[in-house]
Amino acid sequence: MRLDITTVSVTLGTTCILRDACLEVAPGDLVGLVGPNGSGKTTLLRTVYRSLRPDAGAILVGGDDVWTLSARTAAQRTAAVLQSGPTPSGLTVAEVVALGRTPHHGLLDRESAQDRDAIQDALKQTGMHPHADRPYTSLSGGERQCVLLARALAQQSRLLVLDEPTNHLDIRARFELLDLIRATGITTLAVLHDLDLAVRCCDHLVVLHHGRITAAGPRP
Amino acid sequence: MFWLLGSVAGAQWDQLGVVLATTGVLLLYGRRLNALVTGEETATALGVNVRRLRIGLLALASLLTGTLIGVAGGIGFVGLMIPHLVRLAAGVDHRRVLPLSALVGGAYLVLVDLLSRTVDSPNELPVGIFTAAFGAPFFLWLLRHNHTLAVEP
Repeated sequence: MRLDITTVSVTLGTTCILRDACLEVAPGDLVGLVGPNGSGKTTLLRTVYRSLRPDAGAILVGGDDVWTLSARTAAQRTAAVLQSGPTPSGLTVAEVVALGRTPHHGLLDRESAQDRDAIQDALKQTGMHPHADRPYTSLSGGERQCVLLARALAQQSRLLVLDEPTNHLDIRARFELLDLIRATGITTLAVLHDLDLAVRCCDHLVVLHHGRITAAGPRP
Repeated sequence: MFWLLGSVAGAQWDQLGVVLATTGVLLLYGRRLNALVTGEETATALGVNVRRLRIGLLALASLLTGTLIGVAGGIGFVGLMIPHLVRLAAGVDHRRVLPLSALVGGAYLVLVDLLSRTVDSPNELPVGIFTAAFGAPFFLWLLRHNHTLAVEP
């Protein structure tokens, strides 16, 4: 599903975090977002998964402005794996992945066979199915990252938004994770800090600096 | 004293309507509350309208608590103690925690009420004295010993 970001500006307090950011992600592409700390990468992602409303500009996912969609419909189209947030303790791996089904449920819906299939498929795709019944907190950092990706895959969205998905991973695990993302074929916008990795794995790279997109282009 | 320590002596069946209705609606929110455990940002990405959920649940919980206190006075520590016990026994999934807390909490109150009527029979002691006597030590114990329920940063 394509993503179009058109002249998006965000001001938080008195600080201008993003200014006139324009970005297109074609269906099936993996686009890497790079830039120094504080350049606005995470803020740009937040506007995409509908957590932050831009002061100007629009975010179109599959041609529709995300702010014309309900939170639920938007989440059926866009899944996110984020960097921060509390660790869900007390949940098993399978239960964490099952959270990805949240946007597919109304208040009265019960878990269906389709939900179970989506959860199983996501666990298998990420290789996490042997750990399905383990407590999430007993996993290593790399395994946790795979589980969070599995949760996003279980969401069966057609756009993935990833904030530094390879953080805390060793070199091998970084490549494996990005290969895994590529193999899903889902349109992806990912913030990456590792430039070598970004150049090798992404179809397009976008550079953010001081809230502006200063360079963008296809992989050399 | 009635308001301060509570009593279920004045409770009538026909007062249960609001309680049953609000409890029934609250039970539907288990899945969304589970999503909220992952933090506001991730919950948003999972399609939960966090602001609306918070306000809605706050309104429902206020209605429920207000009704109960209006009928029975302030019976302390039950709501602090029972959900934690249930979580220790049955895990953190709110689809289990919510209904089990309601059932276990109700059963617990009936037992404590029985105790308050029989200890100094035929006098009836305020039920809140007993829930506080059990609840306060439990809570202190929980604060000192329970790290499994804590959410890691």
